[in-house]
Amino acid sequence: MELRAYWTIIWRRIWVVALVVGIVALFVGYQYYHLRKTPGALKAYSSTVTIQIGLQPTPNGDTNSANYVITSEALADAMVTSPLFTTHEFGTAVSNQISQDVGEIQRRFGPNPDLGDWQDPSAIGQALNASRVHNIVTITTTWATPAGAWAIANAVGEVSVSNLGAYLNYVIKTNASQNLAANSEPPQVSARVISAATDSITVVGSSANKLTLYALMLLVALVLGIALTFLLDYLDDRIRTKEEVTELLGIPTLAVIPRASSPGRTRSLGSSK
Amino acid sequence: MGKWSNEQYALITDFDQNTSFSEAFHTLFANIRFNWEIHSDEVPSIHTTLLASATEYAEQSAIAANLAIVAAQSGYKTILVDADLRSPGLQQRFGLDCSTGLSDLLNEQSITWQKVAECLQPTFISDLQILCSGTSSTAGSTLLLSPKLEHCMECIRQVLEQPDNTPGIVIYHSAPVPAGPDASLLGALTGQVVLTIVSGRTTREQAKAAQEQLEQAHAKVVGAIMVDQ
Repeated sequence: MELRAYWTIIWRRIWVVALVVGIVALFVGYQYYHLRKTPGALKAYSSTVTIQIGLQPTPNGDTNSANYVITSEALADAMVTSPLFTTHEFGTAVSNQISQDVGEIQRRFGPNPDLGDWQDPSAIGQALNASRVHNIVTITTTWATPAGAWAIANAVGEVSVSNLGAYLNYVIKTNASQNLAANSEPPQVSARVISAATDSITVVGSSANKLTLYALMLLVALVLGIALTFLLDYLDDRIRTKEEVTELLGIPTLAVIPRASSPGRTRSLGSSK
Repeated sequence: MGKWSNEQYALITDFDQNTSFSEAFHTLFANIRFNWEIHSDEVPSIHTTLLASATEYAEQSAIAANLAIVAAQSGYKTILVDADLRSPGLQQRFGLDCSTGLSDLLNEQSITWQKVAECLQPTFISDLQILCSGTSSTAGSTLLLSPKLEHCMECIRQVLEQPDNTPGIVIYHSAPVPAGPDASLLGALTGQVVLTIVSGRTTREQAKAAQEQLEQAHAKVVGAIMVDQ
């Protein structure tokens, strides 16, 4: 079949294509509208803070530095892989720290900085992503506003330094219980910020990949609509071309009468009176 | 009786000669003429053609009327017969009233060409006369089943042969083929049958069934008219 014949089939039922694409476009438009309205969905801001995890020396002096290195890395690993950042306690601690840092935040971002939903601990937990190299942990904050991203990253660094022992000392106790003498105290976890929260940079939002999905949905709708026109044409038994007449009946088409325009009729009727 | 509405097809006299609508009917008549010349060793001076639709189509009478106009304008003495006794009204296309016609002739005891000539109505096209469906209330196919039909059609031919045997054509407009045996009965007695296919409406099944029905009556289906909707 010629390309023109394919196009004729599609054009004959172009309304099917328009209907399918239109319905999907409405859905996509609705979803896109909500994405645009959702802060951080399409465009977000990122700030990182880098922390070094270590051990505080104990009074009885454990001189085995190899144990210190191994334990520090275990602590960094526990920090990264455990659900520490998503806990309600950590999120609350970060939120409280932000409220204490308001002055510094205002110095950086003006008197009324847009921090987003910074009082929601679960939102803070979901905004954090950590990775480590040996005992160096990098925590990345992805947030809807630049001020919020920096404020959270800064607060995460501060909370980690002050509270990390409370979260990770159990790791030392577990690892060291077999090696320490009965009267020995295990070393305590320490953390220090080696790179303060960076200025916020623009990153792709968490839902930005949905735009590709929506474009794909529109494309699929177009293909589906076109496929439907061919299916309907296949199921349609009506004759449309003179070639079909010749093929079906084996007789020639003597004439194709086009659709008549709308001339005045007074000539033919009037002259008969 | 047929109805006249704004949706009806116009007659080609309403159009300029060079419009595609008008040209299509000239092409149709030319091709019908070619069929006479190809399929007949001795071309008779009077030809008979039946136009029948493969499906219900309200504008079939306009097709017949326009073909008759073109034939008459081409110099052929033409009689247009409204043999659609189920849904008559062809004469209204020409602004004529219904008078005695085919059904009345078929109810006559004896039919002569003079009686036929009395029933013919002239139109605003010279050389074109109409034999309307008539005033008899007897159902269509019952009358057409009459053995007098063949003689009646022969008398209609004879009218055109008077007085000088110049070339002429009788165009029959019948009820749609699926409506009953009307088209088959007429088709069996005419020189050629042209089947009307309405684009986007007539199904393959209907077209095939119509052709088979006509061929079963030994009608000579020479071609089709494709009508764009």
